Amino acid sequence: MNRKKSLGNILKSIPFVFSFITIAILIFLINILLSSTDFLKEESVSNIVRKSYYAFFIPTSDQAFFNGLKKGAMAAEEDFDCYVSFYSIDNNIMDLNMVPFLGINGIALYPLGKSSEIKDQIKFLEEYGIPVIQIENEVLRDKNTFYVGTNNFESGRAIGEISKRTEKDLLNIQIIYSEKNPGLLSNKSIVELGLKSSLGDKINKLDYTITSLNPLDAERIVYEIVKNSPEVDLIVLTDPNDSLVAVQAIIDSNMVGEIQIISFGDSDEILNYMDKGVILGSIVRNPYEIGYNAVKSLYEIENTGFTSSYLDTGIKTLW
Amino acid sequence: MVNNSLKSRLFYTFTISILLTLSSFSFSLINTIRLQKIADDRFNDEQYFISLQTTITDIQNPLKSYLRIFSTSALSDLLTNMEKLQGMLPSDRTIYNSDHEIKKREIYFLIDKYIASCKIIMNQKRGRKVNEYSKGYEELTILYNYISNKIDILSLEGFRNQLVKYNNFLKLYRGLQLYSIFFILLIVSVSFLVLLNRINSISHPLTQLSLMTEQISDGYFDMPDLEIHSVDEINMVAMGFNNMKNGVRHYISEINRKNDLEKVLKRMELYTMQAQMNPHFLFNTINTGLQLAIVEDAEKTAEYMENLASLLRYNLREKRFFVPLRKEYTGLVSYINLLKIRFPKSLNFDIDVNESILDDFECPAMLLQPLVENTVIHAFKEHDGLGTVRITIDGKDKILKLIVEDNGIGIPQDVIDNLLVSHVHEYEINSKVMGLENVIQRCFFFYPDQKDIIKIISSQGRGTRIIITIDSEIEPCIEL
Repeated sequence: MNRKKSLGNILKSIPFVFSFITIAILIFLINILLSSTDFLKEESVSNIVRKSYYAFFIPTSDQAFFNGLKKGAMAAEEDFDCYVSFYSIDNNIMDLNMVPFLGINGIALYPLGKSSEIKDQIKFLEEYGIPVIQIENEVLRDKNTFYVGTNNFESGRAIGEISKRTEKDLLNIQIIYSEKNPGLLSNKSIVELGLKSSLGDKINKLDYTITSLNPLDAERIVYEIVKNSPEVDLIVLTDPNDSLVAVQAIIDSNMVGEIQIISFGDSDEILNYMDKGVILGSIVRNPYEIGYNAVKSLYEIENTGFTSSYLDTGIKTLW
Repeated sequence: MVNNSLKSRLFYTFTISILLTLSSFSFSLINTIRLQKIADDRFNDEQYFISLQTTITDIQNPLKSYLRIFSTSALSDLLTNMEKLQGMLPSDRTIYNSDHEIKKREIYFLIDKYIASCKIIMNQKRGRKVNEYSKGYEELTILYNYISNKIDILSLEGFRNQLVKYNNFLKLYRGLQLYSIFFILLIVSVSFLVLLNRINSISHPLTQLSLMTEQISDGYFDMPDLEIHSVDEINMVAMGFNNMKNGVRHYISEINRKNDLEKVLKRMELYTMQAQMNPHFLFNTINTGLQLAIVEDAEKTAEYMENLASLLRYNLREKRFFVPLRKEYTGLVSYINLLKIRFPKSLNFDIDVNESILDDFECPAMLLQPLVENTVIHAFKEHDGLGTVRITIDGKDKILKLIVEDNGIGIPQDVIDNLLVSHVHEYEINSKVMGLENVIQRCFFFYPDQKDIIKIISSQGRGTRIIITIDSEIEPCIEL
C-alpha cells in the first residue's frame, strides 16, 4: 500500500520535474537568444553613421604604447562623432600617399623614418588641404601643422629627476636613443637640455648612441658600453623594447648596481625589474591622452579651423 | 475567471504547446534566414567588387591601347567602361561606424580619383602632352594596382570576418537546434502528461458514474451523492446524475407511498363491503315483509320495515366516498327509527340538527351511523336506567361539526389513545376493524394532515362525547 502511495507521489511529481526541466531549457534558450543578439549588435554598429573620418598612421612596434593610443582615439570616436582607422607606416608609405583620395578628413601621423621624406609627405597632404597632427615627433613646424605628444624638454628633466636617486655625485650618462622612438631621437638636444637643467653640475659626461629599428640592437650597444666605456654609470633608454633588452644585457654582464638603468615604459616586466632594483626608474608617456587629443584636435580643425598647434600630454615618472 | 471546461482546457493546453513549438521553430527559422543573409551579403559584396575590379581592368587595357596607337575602338571601349564604372559607384558616401564599410568607401573614392585621372590623361593625349600623360599613366597604374590591392584586402578581410561570424553563428545555431529539439520534446511530453491528466480527470469520474449506475440499476438509491472535481462538463454530468438519482429515489418513494394508500383504500372498501349485507336479497326480503305488514294491518311492523328498507337503500346504493350531508342525515334518521322500535324503553335518541346546512356540506359516507351503532352496542353495557344518545349536526364558517354523545359507561383513556392512532400507512390493518375504529381510520385517511379531525372525550360512568370537525375548505385526500 505504502509502495503504491509512494509510486503515486512520484507520478504526481513528474509534471513538476518536467516543468522544471522545461524552464531550465527555456532559460538556456533565452540565453542563446540574448547571445545571438551580438549578431544584431554587430549589424547595428555598422549602421551607425559618423560625420567625419580620420586616419592614424602609426608603427606596429611598441604594442603597449600604440594600443593605448588606439584606445584613446577610439574613445574619442563617440565624443567627436567620427570614425578612426589605423594604418601602419612601418614599410609602406603608399597609404599615406593615397590619403587625399581616400575620403579622409584628417590624419594623425607618428613620423617615422627619414624626416625629409616625412616632411615632403606632410607638405603634400597640406596641399590637398588634409589636416595633419604630428604625434610625439614634430618633424615640421609651420602654420598648418600641429603637434600632440610629450614635451621632450620635460622628458629630459624627468630623466634628470630620476638620475638624482643615484648616490653618486658625478654622473657619466649614456643615453641610448632609438629610431623606434623618433620623437626623442630627433629632439635629442632638447632632451639633453632638459636633463642638464635638472642635474646641472652633476653631469660629468653625457654621451648618446642610437639603436635601429632592429629590436635586438640595444643588446649589442650595451655590451659595447660595458666593454669600451667602463666609466659609464647610468644608461638611459628611450624605447620600451630597448629597455628590456638592455636590462638583460646588464644582468648577463653582471653589472647590476654598477651601471644604473633608466628605462622607458611601464610594462609588467619593467615594473618587475624596478621592484628588484635592477631599474632605477622609468619614464612613461600618456598614449591614451595622445590618441584622444589627436582626434579632438582633428575635430577642432575640421569644425572651427583652429586648434592648439602644440599640445603637451605630459609624462609620468616611476621609481 | 478561468474557464474550467474541458474544451477551454484542451484549447489552452494545445494553444500554449503550439505557440511554444512555433516560437522555437520561428527562432530557428529566423536564424537560418539570417545565416543565409550573411552568406548572401558576402557573395553580393564579393561579386560587386569583382565586377568593379573587372571594369577597372577593362578601362586600364583600352587606355593603354589608346595612349599607344590612338585607337578609336579603344577610346570607345574606354568611354563605355568609364561610364559603366561611374554608374556602378554609389553616390552615397556616408561614413558608417564599420571598418568594412570604411574600406569600401575608400575604394569608391579611389575609383573616383581613377576615373578623374583617366579623363585628365585622355585630355593630355588629345593635347599630345606626351610627358604629362606618360607620367599620368604611370601614376594611374600605381593607383590601379593600389585599388586592386585594396579590393583584394577587402575581399580577404570580408571573407575572414564573415568566416568568423559564420563559425560563431554555426556554433550558436547548432546549440540552438539542440536545445530546440530538447525543448520541443519536453513540450510534447508535458503536453502529453497534461492531456493524460485531463483524460484521467474525465475517465475517473466516468468510472465512478458507471459504478453508481450499476448500483442504481440494482435498486439501491440511498448512496451518497457523487463528489467530483473535474472539468465543467463532467461536473455538470455528475450534478445531473445526482439530481436524476435523487429524483428517481423521490419518485419511487412516492410510488411506494401511493401503493400503500391504494392498499389502504382497498382495505377501506373492504370494510365498507363488510359493513353491508347482501343487498338484493335483503332488500327484496324486507320489501316482501313490508307488503306483508301492510296486508296484515301491522302498522308498527310496516314502519319498521320501511325504515329498514330506507337504511339499506342508503347503505347499499351509495358507492361514493363522500355524500351530501342530507343523505347521511337521512340514513341516520332511518337507523335511529329502527333503534327506537328495538329499544323503546331503554334508549332515548336526541337529534339536534341545523336543517339549513344539510345541503351546504358533504361528509364521508357512513360516518354517523357506525358511531351511533357503536354507542348503542358498547356504551350501555351494564348500564342501568335510560340511555341517552345525543346527535348534533351543525355547521358554521365552512366548518362542519358532527357530535355523537352518550351518558353511558365511558371509554377508558388507554383505549381512546389506541383508537386515535392513524393506521393509514400500515399494511397490516385488522380486517375486522369495525364501528368507531372504522370511522376514525377513515377520517385520518381522508384528512391525514388534520390530527384533530376526530376527538373523543370520555369520562368513566358519565358518558362519551365524539366530535368530528370537518373543514370543507380542505380537500379530502381521495384522489386515489
